[in-house]
Amino acid sequence: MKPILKRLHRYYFIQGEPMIWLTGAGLSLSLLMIMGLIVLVVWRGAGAFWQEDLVLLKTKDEKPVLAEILNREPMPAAEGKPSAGFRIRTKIANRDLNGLDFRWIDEPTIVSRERPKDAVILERQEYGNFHGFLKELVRDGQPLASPAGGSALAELRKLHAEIRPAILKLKAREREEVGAINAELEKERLRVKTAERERPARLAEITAGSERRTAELKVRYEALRESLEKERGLLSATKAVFADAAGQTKEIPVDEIVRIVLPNDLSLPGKLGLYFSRLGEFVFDEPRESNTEGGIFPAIFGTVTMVLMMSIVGVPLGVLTALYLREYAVQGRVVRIVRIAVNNLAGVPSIVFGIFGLGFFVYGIGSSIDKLFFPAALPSPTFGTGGILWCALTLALLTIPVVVVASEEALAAVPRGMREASLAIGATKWQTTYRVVLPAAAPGILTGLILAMARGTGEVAPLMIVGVVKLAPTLPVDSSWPFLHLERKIMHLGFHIYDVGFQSPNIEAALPMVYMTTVLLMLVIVALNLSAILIRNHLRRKLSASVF
Amino acid sequence: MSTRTSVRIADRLARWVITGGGLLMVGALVLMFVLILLEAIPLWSQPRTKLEAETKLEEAWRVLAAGENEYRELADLACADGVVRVIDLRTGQAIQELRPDEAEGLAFASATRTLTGEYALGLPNGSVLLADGRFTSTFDPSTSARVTTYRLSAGAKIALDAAGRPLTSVAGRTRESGLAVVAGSPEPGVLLAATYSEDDGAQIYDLSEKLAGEKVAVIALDDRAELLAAGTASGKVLFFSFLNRTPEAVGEATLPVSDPAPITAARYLLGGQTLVAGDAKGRLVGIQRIRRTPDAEERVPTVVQRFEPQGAAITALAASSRGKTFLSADAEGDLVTHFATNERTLTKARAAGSTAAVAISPKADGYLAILPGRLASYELTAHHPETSLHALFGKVHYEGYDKPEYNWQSTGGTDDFESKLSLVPLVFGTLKGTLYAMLFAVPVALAAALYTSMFAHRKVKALVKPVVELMAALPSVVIGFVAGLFLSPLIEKATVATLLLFPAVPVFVLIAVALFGLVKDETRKRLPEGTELMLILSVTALAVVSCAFVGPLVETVFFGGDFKAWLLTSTGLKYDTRNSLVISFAMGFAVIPIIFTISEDALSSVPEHLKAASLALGASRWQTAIKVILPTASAGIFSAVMVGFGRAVGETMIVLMATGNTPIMEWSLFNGMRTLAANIAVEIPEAPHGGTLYRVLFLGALLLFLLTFLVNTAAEVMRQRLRKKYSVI
Repeated sequence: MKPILKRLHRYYFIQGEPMIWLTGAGLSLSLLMIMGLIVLVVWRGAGAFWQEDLVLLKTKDEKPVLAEILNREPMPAAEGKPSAGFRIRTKIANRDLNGLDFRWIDEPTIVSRERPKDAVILERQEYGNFHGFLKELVRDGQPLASPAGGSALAELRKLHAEIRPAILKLKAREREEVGAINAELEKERLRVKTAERERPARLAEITAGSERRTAELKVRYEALRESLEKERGLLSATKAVFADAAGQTKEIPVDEIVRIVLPNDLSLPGKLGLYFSRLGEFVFDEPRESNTEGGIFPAIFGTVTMVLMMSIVGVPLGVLTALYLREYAVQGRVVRIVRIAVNNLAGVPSIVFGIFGLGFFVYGIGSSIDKLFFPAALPSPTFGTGGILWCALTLALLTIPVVVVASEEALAAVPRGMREASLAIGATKWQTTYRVVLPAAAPGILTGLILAMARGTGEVAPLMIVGVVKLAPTLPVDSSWPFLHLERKIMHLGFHIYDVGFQSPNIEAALPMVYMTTVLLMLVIVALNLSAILIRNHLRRKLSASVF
Repeated sequence: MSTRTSVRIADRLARWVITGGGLLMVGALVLMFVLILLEAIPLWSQPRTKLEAETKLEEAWRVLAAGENEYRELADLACADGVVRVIDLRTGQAIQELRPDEAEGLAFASATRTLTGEYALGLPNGSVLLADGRFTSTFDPSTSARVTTYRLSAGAKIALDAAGRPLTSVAGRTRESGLAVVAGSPEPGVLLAATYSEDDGAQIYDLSEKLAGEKVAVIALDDRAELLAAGTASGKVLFFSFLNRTPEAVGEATLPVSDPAPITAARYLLGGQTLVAGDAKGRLVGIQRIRRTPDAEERVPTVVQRFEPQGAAITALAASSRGKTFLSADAEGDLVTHFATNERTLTKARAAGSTAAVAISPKADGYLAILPGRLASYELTAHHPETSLHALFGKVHYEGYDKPEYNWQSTGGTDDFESKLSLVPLVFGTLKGTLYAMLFAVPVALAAALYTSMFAHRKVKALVKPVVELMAALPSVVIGFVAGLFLSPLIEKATVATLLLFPAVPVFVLIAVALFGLVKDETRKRLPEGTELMLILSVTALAVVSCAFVGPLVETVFFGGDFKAWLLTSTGLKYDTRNSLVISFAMGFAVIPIIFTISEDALSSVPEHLKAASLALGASRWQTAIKVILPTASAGIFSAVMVGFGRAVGETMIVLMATGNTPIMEWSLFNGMRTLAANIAVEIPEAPHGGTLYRVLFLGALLLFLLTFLVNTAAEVMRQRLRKKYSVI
């Protein structure tokens, strides 16, 4: 025994191994945290579009429900008594009938569980999902006879396949054409206002012309509205009558139905197909139900556009600074000050950038632009309020240090010999920098760009106050002149997470969507970062090989 | 051969542009600082006042009370000759003379005017007449000019004094319910009050007995006609409540001076919670009814504010209908505006002669003073009266509170809301959040950095570093979201298990290392690289899992099965779902990779020969790490902690999402906080451009900027020093 104890004593108290293990525990904790977070988010997000079976639950004391079972946990213990079994959390949907989407059901009260093959989940334009059974189809109040040999469901699917695309097309047309007329009307209004200020002499003439055109536009608008109404009336005349588990019927216009799913009748490939169909909708469609359903395309688009604009502004400035610090500046006090400035720009809280953006870009520059170029629209601001341009500029300022640090590292890695060779054959400093140093450092600068983009994609706090909104009616890029609308407000992935997760009225129903948005945002950022790391490692290897 | 000109020019140009680009960074930083500063500075702009116009008044009118309209064009004056006159301030002409029929042609013995323009007129026959005066402005489209009219509609008339003596002081107003409350005094020893409604008629109460021999000098009634204050000749203010219709005496307050003088003016401020009283020696105080002890039921009138005294007897007071600004005028003609909440003197103006009545304009952009034979109209520019150094950083006695407090509550539901703009709770919240985050993050991050750089195998290191970099790249909105919606309910359910983690992890590891020590050295050395970390990782995970199982057990045994209830009953602490414990983990998560990366760099760049020398001398790897490497890299580690601190101080989204954002000042681990950064994010959308709140938020941003500037600069200086040190070694 003795030598063992002695060894242990040495190991434990003299060598200090326990302390090493404790430091290892610190690292382990960090690793566990990051892994835990990623697994959690991916797990929750990936499950968002997977369709569980619909279960018809009959209970002792309440009406039967058709529900998706979400999770199961011990019932909370009542006063002094131990827990009396389990309870399940179910999604019962039918918000318009029940008033709520979710319900806890105590397992002991459940009489029977069935999985009827004909149970239908309807994803609807409004009021969330509907769980029920198809009864019949009606048009203008008259039941539609099902064709011989076909079930009502097949008929519904057929009708839906016709009507849904038609109504989407109609809506797109409505937005486009009504939008165009509204833009024209606004132009006329501004024309009169401009004339009031700039050409009072011709005011009467301009006003008369403008009024004539306005009247014409209004006539056109009325005609358009009428024709749209009519078409819409035709489309929404077809309705499907559904009954919920308790037998309560509900008429649902076919054009309001987004998707018809019979979960209990689906095979595994069918479920997978459904999964990807929903994933596609999520990525490429517009949001519904105050962002809690549908897709997040505008948020993806807004984020990408803004980050690209940010890079266009930020990267050249960052590279200039890096060039200054590494190639041009004489090491001394000025360089030290510039370094302190860069480090501070990196360390100043992002919200301070936001408030600076608000005070300087929005209320300072934006208001001046409005006064100079858009006086007719005042007092409603054009650039004097948050917008994509201000978001991009604020973020550019915020991410410059990332570019500077990465570019500096890249420039430092360019061997001295290359510069000296270039200078020795008579090239000027700029020629050397431009033709020799910058190309050699390009991958490193690219790393900086990618890291800056990753940082910009994830940043939310400053954007909340300089132009990111929960729902932007239009995308910042569209087909009307000047195509890129710098003044428009945008949606943003990160803000979408915050907004839907914390400000939405129905957080519980929206949670899977938020997790999925988080997965998407993380994927983008992880992909950007990994590529930056790969490029950097590749670069290091390459440069270490090319020693002069 | 000479260089081409274009090449030379390009070279020159490039040098300029690049140098400019470098200096641009400094410019950007300075611009940020200057802009934020410029937005915050107007908070301290000195309020100004200026005499605008003087209008001659006829001696015979003897103005008793006055008011003016929103646009500062017209003034309405209740004159002792029984006429309410409307004066056009631009021309000086009396454009309307109104004699209420109900006054039966009598002169007015006394008059007061409420903020909304209702007059209480004391008649010489002992009656009080209430008359509501209203300005209405309409735009005349044909001339595009504003047309303002004044209407005086008589309300209740109450025969207050049965003896028919003229009332020398009077106060009264009609509640929204239609109930009118009036009070008056025909002679110093008598105080009469009455309530009147259409249904019940007038109820007269003689309060003289309750005066206990005091002589009434002035009386004032609050906005809701619920509280009556009577200032006496001996320098006391007596209070009566009309809450239950029948007036009850509810205490008295004495001006806290050694030589009492008669109260000469008293006036309730907007909201009816603060009474301002002035005495014959020019002293001014604010009186509120407060609870002296936290559980006292009664509210006792107490002097809570003392304003800058004036040189002569206070003769008139006027309140603003926007905020707690008021105007005091004295017998020598000094006109002083104050802001009640922070006891700040805003402006001073001097007009010759004793002031009979004063009024602040409805937009608080000017005021009127009735002086002997004339009416003086002043302009008042006070954009941010509510802020002062004391209000922003000191304890302030707000209305409705029982003692001076640090408080942040920028907006409220009502017009008479008193905004509370103390930055102290926000600074406190910032430091609290940062402290708890750092308490968790610093040990974990430094331990991780030490292990990675000193003890981990090269391959482990190559794997760990990108993972931690990835951790740093995770957006804070993701961390905040998970912390707010997943972690905080989880921790709420398993508080005990979470708290157990802190002792459990080290204990498990220490036991495990003892077991591992039993293995023979030779065997240990033959294990594949990374085994050690895998073992530690499993032990740590085991510790976490066992906490989850042991937690409920410990809760049952020691805390009666419900930790939250135990916490409340035995320590009085309330448990909020989104609390500092959650912040500690979440913000720690954000800060750990930063501290880790910088300190790992510092540790790794310690020259290899130092390590080799120490090991060669026979020191163990722990001894080498702690006695040789760590001291050498200490400046870099300090820099890492500083940068981490800077990040935690300014973190916005995590705090926004994972705390309740309530600006409380408690160190408890189980409730939340509001930080400066989150406060900006929460409030800036509601803050109108250029308003006080907007500027206070910029001031908050300035504090953040300065704090992080100091911290980051210190870190950078440290790093530069470190670089120099290594170049020597």
